Amino acid sequence: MSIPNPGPVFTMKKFALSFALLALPALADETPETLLIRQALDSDKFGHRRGEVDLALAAFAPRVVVYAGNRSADPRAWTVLHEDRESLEAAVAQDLRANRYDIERLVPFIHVRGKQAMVTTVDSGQVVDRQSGAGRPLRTERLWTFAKFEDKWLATGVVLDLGAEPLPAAQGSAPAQIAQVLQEEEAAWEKGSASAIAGLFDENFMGGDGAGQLRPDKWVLLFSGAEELEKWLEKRLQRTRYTIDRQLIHAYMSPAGGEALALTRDQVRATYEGGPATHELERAVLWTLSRQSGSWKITGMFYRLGLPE
Amino acid sequence: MKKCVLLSMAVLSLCACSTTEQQVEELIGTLAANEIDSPAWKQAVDGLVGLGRPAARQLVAHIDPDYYKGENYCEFREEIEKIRTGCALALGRIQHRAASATLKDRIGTAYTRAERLACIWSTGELGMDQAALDALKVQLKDEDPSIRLYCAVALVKMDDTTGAAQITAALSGGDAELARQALAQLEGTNYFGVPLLVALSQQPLPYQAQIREVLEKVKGQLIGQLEAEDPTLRMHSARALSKVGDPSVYRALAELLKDPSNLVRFNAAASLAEMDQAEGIDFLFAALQDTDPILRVNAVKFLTEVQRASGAVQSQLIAALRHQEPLARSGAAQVLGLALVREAVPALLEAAQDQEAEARCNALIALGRIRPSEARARIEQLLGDSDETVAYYAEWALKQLGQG
Repeated sequence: MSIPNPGPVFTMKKFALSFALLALPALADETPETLLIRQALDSDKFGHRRGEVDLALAAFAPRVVVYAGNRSADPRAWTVLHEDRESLEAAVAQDLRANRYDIERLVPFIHVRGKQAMVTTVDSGQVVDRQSGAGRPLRTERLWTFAKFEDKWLATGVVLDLGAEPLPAAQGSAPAQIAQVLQEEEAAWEKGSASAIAGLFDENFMGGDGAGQLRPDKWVLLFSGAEELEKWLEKRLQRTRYTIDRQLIHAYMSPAGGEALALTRDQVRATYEGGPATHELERAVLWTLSRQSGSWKITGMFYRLGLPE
Repeated sequence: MKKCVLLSMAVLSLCACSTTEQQVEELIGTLAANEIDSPAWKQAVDGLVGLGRPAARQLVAHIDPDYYKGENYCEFREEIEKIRTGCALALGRIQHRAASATLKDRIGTAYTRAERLACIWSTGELGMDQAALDALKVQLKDEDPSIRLYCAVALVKMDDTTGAAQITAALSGGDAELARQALAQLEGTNYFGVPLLVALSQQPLPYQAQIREVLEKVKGQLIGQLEAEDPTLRMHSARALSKVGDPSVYRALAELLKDPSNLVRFNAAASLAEMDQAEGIDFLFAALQDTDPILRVNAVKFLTEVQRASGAVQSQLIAALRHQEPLARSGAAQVLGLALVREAVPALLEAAQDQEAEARCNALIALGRIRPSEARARIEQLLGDSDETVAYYAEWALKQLGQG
C-alpha cells in the first residue's frame, strides 16, 4: 500500500474539493481550513465504513503516532499503540478484514493555528464482525492532531478511546532517558539560552495551553514548530529570567522505544530586567517525545494541564 | 511641570533605540516588570503617551488576548494585566479613536478589575462610538460600584447621561473611596460633564464642597480651552461655560465673538445670551437679519436654544416681530415657534398679517407648533391668502390645531 503523496493535487481534484466545500452545510466558525480537516476525518470514517484501507489511511501523515487512551483523558493512562504508519496500516487492514463499521462521526472541537490543528471526535454506531455478523455498539472519543502539508491536512497523532475513567498509570520502561531531556530543558531555561531550549524540540513540534482542563476541548495551540518557539524564547529571554523547579510525575516510553510521554509539575518564577516585579505559577505540563529522528526530541508540550490530584 | 520633565526624561532615555517599535517594546517591558501605579509603571505609560500615535498600532495589539500566543506568548496573567492596563490607559491619553473597538471588548468580566477600569476610562476618552456606548451601558449593571461609576462617567464623556444616577449614588453613599473616585473622574469630563456637575453642585450632597471645587477646576479648564487651536474645543468650551453661569467668564466669551470660526462665534454668543449678556443677544439678533442664510440659520438655532434654556431672549424676540427688517420678523417668528413660546401668541397673530408673505408663513408655522385654540379664526382668514405658500401653511396650521 502506498503512502499518500501530500504534494500537488490534480486540478480536477481541486475542482471537486471546491464543489464539495460548497456542498457542505455552513457551520458557525467554519473556515476553509476546518472544512479541509473535516474532509480528512471523513476520509478515515468512510474508509472504515466501506472497509477501504487506502481511504482510511489517506487521512494520516507519513509520520504518525497513535495512542490508546484507555478510556481516560488523563495522559497518565495513555499508551502507544502504533508509533509509525506501517504499524497503523497493518492494524487497520487487519481490523477492516475482520470488522465492518457502521458509524457516524461528530466533530465537537476543531482548533486551528497556522499549519497545525487539534480536533476531537465522537464516533457512534456499531462494529459488526464480518464472520459472525454479530454487532456490538460503539461510542468512542478521540483526540487528533493535524498538520498541513502543502494544501492537505493530515493527522499526525491520535489518542483513541478517551474517557473519564480514573485508570492506573500506564507502565513503561526506562523513563530515565525522558527525565534527562526534561532536566536539560529546565536547565536551559535557567541558563537563559534560547538555542539550548529550542534545540531540544522537534522541528514540527506542537505547543499548547491546556487552560486548566484535562479534556482537550478547551485546549489552545500556542506554538507551531520549533522555529516559532525559538523566536519567542529569543524575545522573551532578553528581558526575563526564569527559575524552574520541575518535578517529573509520570514518564512512559513505548515498548519499541521510539515514542514517549511525560508529565511534570513545574514551579515557574520570572524576574525582569526592567523592574522589581516577580511572577510565579505552578503548572502541570504534558510532554510527548520522539526518537524517530535519532535523538530524543520534544514533539508536544501542553502547559497548564488540568491534572487531577 | 514635574510631569512634563518626567515625560521628557522617559522619551529622551529611549532615544538610543532606533525605532518607535523598539521603544514601545522597551516601555512595555517596563510595564511588565513593575506593579501597576508604581512610579516606574506610570513613567512607562507616560513614555508611551509621549511616543503618540506611531505607537498606537502596537498598543492596540497588546490589548488583544490573541496577541499572547506564539512569539508573543506570556504565561503570567498578572504580567498581561500590567501590560494591558498600561496600554489601555496610553491609548486613551493618545486619543487613538480606532482603539475604541478593541477597548470596548475588554470591559467585561473576563478581564481583571484594573484592566476593565483602564479600558472603560479610555473608551470614554475616545469619545462617542455607538458600539462602545452600548457596551458601556451593559456594564452599568455590574456588581462592582467602581465599574458602574467609571462606565457612567465614560458615558457622560459621550454626551450620554444614562448613568448619571450611578454618579449621584457614588457621591451620596457612605463609601468615601467611591466618592473620591467619582470626584476624580468627574474632573476629567471636560465640557460634557458641566451640566451634571452644575446639577450636582446644587443638590444637598455630602460632598457638595468638593463638587464645587471640581466644577471650579473644570471651569478653569474650559476657559483655557477657549484659546485652543482646535475650533471644536473652543466651541464646546464656550457653550459649556454658560451652564457655569459665572460673570468672570463674560470677557473671555466676548473675545470669542471675533473668532474666525462661525460656530465658535455663535456658541460664545449663545452662552453670553443665556447669561443675559447684551453682547451675545445683540450678536444673535444681528445674525437673524443677515443676508447670509447660513448665519440666519445659526441665529435661529442658537436663539431657540437660549430661549429654551433660559427664556432670556423672549421679550426681544416678541419685539422683533415688529422689526423694520422683514428677515428679523421672519426669524423671530421661527424661533418663537421652535421654542414654543405661548406668551408670543398675540404678537404672532398680528405677525400673521405681516405685509411680507415670508413673515406671514413663519408666523403661521409658529402658531401651528404652539397650537393655541384662539388662533383658529385668524388662521382660517388666511386660507384664501393671495400667496399660495401662506394659504398652504394656514391649512397646515389648522390641521395642527385640530390635533391639539
